[in-house]
Amino acid sequence: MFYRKIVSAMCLGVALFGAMICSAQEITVAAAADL
Amino acid sequence: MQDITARFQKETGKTVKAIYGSSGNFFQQIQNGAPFDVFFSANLDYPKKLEAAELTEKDTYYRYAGGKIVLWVPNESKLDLNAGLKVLLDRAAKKIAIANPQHAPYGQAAMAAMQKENVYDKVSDKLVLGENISQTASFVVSGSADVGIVALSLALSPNMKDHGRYAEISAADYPPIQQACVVLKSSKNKDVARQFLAFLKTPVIGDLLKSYGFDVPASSSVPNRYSSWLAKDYDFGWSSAFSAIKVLRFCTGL
Repeated sequence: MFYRKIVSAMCLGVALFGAMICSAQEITVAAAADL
Repeated sequence: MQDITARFQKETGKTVKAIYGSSGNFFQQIQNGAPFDVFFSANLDYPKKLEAAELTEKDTYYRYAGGKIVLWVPNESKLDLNAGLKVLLDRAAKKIAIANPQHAPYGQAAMAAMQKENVYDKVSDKLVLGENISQTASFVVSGSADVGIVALSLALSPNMKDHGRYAEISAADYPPIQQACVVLKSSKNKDVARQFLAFLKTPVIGDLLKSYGFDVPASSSVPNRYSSWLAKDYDFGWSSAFSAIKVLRFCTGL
């Protein structure tokens, strides 16, 4: 039971980390200097 | 652009990093594989050429605004801008800043206007060329040039509007400065790039561009409800993550 909880907690951590990575999306725009 | 990117980030949580330069230089860099996601050009030719070379994403070409040029002098200048482009003939105008017409559309417009008003031949030896329109403006703000032909959008920007005076140059004196953007095929984040493009078409951004002196095509706007779609898209990542967590909790009994 103890090991099962450890594994579950790890899975939750991985899921949260994945969600954070997915939400941190960035794009780069090359913009004319009048903008 | 800072206002636009800040609003986009606030609404979607996604970051936009903007790099500024002359459209011609960016055009060359993109052809050589520069890693940009979206290209905002101060003319229509460069995005069209990239589209023809199949370097852009399909159906992303968008004419977002039309620019204007103005004469700009610092507050302490005694040059009379009521004279229009003839002010460039004044002896006090020893250095005149314009953007380099070889690769900056605003420089090409400035050249065309000076030629139309028959002043170019008389002032050509006084011209100081900026790499792009922003550098051109900084030449006049810093006093390195006595007068400049700059973008109206910059004259209205917080960095310049309290530091000088401007006079619009007649739009009949130069070809229209139509501007367009495209999502690039080399983009590694095409979904966000397309989302940013869609955000640009919302009325709120059209109004923002107008406040900086740009002409905004009336047909370009999409209904306000688009912003709620953007918000939905933003929620999608988190709601998926929470759903995954629920499934995990269900499976593991935690």
